Amino acid sequence: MNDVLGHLLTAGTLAVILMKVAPILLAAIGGAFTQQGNILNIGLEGMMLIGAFAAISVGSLAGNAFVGVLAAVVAAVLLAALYALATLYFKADFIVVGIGINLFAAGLTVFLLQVVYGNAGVTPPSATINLPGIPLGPIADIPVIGPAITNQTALVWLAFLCVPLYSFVLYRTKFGVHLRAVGEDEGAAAAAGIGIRKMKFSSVLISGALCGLAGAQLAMATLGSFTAGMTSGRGFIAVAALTFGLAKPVRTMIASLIFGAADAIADQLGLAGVNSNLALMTPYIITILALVLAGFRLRGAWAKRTTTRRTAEEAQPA
Amino acid sequence: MKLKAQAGFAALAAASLLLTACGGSSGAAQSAASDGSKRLSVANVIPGALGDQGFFDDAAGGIKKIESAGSKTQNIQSDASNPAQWKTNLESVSTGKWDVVVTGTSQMHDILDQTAQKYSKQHFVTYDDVVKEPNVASIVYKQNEGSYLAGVLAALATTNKDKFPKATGSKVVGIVGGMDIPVINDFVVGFKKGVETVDPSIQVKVSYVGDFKDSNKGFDQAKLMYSQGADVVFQVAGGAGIGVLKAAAAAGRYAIGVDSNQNAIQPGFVLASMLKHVGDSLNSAVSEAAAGKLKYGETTSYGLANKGVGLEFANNGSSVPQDIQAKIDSFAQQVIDGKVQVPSATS
Repeated sequence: MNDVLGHLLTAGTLAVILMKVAPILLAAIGGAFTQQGNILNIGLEGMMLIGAFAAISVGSLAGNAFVGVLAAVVAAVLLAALYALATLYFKADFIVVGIGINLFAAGLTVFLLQVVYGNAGVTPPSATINLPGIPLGPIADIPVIGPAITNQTALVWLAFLCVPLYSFVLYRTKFGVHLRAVGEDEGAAAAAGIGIRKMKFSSVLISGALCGLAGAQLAMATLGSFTAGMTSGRGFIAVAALTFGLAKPVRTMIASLIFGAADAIADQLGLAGVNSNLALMTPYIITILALVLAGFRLRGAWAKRTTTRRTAEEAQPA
Repeated sequence: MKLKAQAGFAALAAASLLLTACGGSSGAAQSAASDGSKRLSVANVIPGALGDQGFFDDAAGGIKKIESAGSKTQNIQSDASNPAQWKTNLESVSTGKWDVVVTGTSQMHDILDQTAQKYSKQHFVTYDDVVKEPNVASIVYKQNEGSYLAGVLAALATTNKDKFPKATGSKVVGIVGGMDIPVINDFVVGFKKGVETVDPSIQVKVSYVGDFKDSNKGFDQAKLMYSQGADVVFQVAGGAGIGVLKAAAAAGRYAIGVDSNQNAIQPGFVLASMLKHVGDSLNSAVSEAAAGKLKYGETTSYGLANKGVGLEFANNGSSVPQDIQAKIDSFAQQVIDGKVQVPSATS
């Protein structure tokens, strides 16, 4: 056990945690945007997956990681637009379409793998593209933190930069205020002249773009190749993270960090000889605990919201 | 309305029957080879599509060999997630038009079991699965024996750092499995036995990804093993194992692949791949059937003795020297001679 602790408290582990957190955080912030507009976007997984595939296939074709990232964003935004179209214009159920998006992405990527590369499982070695890590020079010599943050990809930095950015957009811009108004009370927002569908549509597109980045990070940071179903539930972990974080910037980040750390700890525990089933359960146990905790809080928030609404209704003259 | 629908179904059924009949008649011929012995016609029903660079492609390779030996053969592909289609495909070739119907993997188990009972005069061969019916010959592979050789190779690499320049001589090796299930643990116990046979003081690290697709987690776990000193990591984690191979390249150490020849995926870092020779086993099963020696209703194990499993060194950038390969062969011989018993997690 001491051995595990010794391994855990190293810069290497911290670097791994940051790498594990980045895709979850990006997707979670994306989902938080839609959540603020009162849409629980469970299509994050599928948007991330399609982004991962686009990143590798287009990026390797162009021989440029940046083009890959761009392609990932475009692909995921297209899928997000499909999601928004089906739910907002054709009034389909958000959850059902979300599941559909995930299944569609899983099927489409395998189909394309087969058609383009003739292998339904993995992109071939010839189609490899990696995101470069950013070396920090002398900063890398700072003990513990330095080695953890040096040579991380630009997307890891962007993921953490998204947190204050999201906070700024949400609380300091017209867009953010309108989005929150739509999420809080559609009727009131409509009465105030806010285009509800437009706000929701843009929030879904933003979530798509961020999921595309998440997919690009997932596929290009270390592997440089795409394997079928490689998101492997990270989109759902992101949903859990933003639910736990009540779609608030810092809380969502903390939740993502918890899951990333739990995942890294699980790997360590497994290697240290802890029963593998128990080790693999760790991140999910933490997820469930977090969700239960968030459930309590949400219920509190809901109760508060409905009471204020009720008092407002009562106050209204008949 | 209802009547109309029924009529439609009847027409459809009639049409499909006709189609099946056509398909059958074209494959009915039993050609006689020049040496006078009977060449068997063989249909291979695949619960999925070719191009997986693994089991199905390997099986199709065996069918091709059978064909080039003069037999009439056909591969029937299908949608990998449509068991109903597998069943129709299997039944359509089980009407006695083909001498031997080949299929395989545990996915086909129930379908084959039912079909074999329904068409009790048809002869079947199934691979990587056991179906206990009097007209089915089952072929299984001793992955524990193949993994034993992988263990021997890993142990030789970590103890001979002069011959393996990327090894550190740490006497630590690892295995990353997909899930903690019997068939994967069969690989694990075989690997451990191989390592132990070479040098009992070598430490074997074991971890499980939890599924067969999370390549990032495979990468992370293998990276952790390398950072804790592992010189060689054997992957038995399907798609997640792609991450293990990548981690070897990132750490500048060695990995061992599985299921298909993965040596060229990370050139110079993958020492070998452990393969089940599905095609060869089918080839010999059909030859036995032609000679009337194949025992239906029984299971044949293909291990090291009958070349059903083994290490594939092709395209590995000559990272394993000839004398080491010879040494591995001598370890294999010990198993074939029965001097070493490789434990199994399945029985």
